[in-house]
Amino acid sequence: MNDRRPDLPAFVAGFGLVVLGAVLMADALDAIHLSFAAFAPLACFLLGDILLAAGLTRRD
Amino acid sequence: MIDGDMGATQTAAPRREPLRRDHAHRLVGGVCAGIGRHLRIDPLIVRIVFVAAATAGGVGIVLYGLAWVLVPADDGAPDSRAAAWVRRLPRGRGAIEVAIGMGLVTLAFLLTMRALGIWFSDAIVWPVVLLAAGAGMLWRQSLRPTPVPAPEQPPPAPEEERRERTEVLSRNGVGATLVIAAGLVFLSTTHALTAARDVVLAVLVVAIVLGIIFAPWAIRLVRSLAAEREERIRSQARAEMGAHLHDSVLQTLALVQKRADDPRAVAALARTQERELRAWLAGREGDHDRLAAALEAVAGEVERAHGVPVEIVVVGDRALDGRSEALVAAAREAMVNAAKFGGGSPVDVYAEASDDALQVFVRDRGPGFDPAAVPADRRGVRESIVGRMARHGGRAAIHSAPGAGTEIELTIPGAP
Repeated sequence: MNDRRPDLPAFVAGFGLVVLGAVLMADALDAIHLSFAAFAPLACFLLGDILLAAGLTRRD
Repeated sequence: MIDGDMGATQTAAPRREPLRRDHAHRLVGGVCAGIGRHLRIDPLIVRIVFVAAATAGGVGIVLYGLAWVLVPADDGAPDSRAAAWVRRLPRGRGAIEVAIGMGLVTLAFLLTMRALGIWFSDAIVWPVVLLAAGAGMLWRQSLRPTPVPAPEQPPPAPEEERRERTEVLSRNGVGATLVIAAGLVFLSTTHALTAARDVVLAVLVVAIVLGIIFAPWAIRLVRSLAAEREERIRSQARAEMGAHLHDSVLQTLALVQKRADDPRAVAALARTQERELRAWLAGREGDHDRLAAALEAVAGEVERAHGVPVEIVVVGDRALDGRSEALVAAAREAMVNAAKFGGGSPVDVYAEASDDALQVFVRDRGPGFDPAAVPADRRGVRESIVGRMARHGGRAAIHSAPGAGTEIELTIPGAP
């Protein structure tokens, strides 16, 4: 049985990219209108979450 | 053949260079040259992209700075002083990642609020972002578990401990600087910095004026407090000495008066008191884990038990261990024998602790005896002295003859 714990930063990054991809796809399908004002906080949130997860799980 | 030719002409795809700052082709920090080499494109294209990004609100400058700090230089190239400092700052990069992450999440939250129309002022954006970054760094530092060394793990070297302390202080310093910068940026953007500067200036002037006026009183107050503290220390020392004299010397003098008709008892009391007083003056009182104190305690015990004066001189000292404890036990047995069979003569004990050996000589001026004539069933000398010393890597020599007194020499060779 594999008892390895999941890599939290990788998980957060993957989940964030899935969400970002879904948003971009919705924008491409004209389901939503994605403006820069909406995209900038999304990108900041994604990057910030990845860094937070990496920083909090890192053993200095 | 064709396959063979094809195999001969096929070449493996060149391995991509790792992302490193290209110090040899740098214009500033070698970031663009390094990225170009990594992506196998002309560094000029990367530079144009960075310059374009720099004109878009300064994003390119920030990204370049981050890359300069976070991307290592290629082999052999020295880091810039700032890059080397920041790289050393967190061992790993956890603190910086948390700080930037907190800043970005906060920025995302503010931008979202702004986009939704729930907004106060643009003036709070950068102060709040800096505040979040600084707080993240400080909190991560404070929440970081303190490593507990394993019992068998040796304590860290002083250099390692000092470096760890410096790194912690550096991280806290960076976090505090970010928080202070947030406050200053907020004051600056709200045009309150001028007023704050005026307030600080006024406080400074008032402090200087008050300092000039009250400095003499303050100095006098400090001096009088210091004098009072010294007097209190002297008084405590005097009281402590008085209490000790009462508990020891005065009590012994009272006992001497009561037992004035028994000269041996008086001598034993005086000797015990002398030994205790000497130990107290030498600061060895209660120091029972040292060889000298242990021998003196044993001598006092034998003296009290047998009423025979035991004169002891100890040169050098060391902490007790298994071998020296055995030496003390053997010396005790020798003192007991000297007190019991020495015909009431004083027992002289000389002990020396040097780097080469531990030695104890116990001598009496009694009738003496022939060591070879000691019966086999008398185990005091054979087992408690000679055997015990041999078991602990030492030796015991008995010098005695009928009518010539006895000297027992105990030796434990070797360094401690």
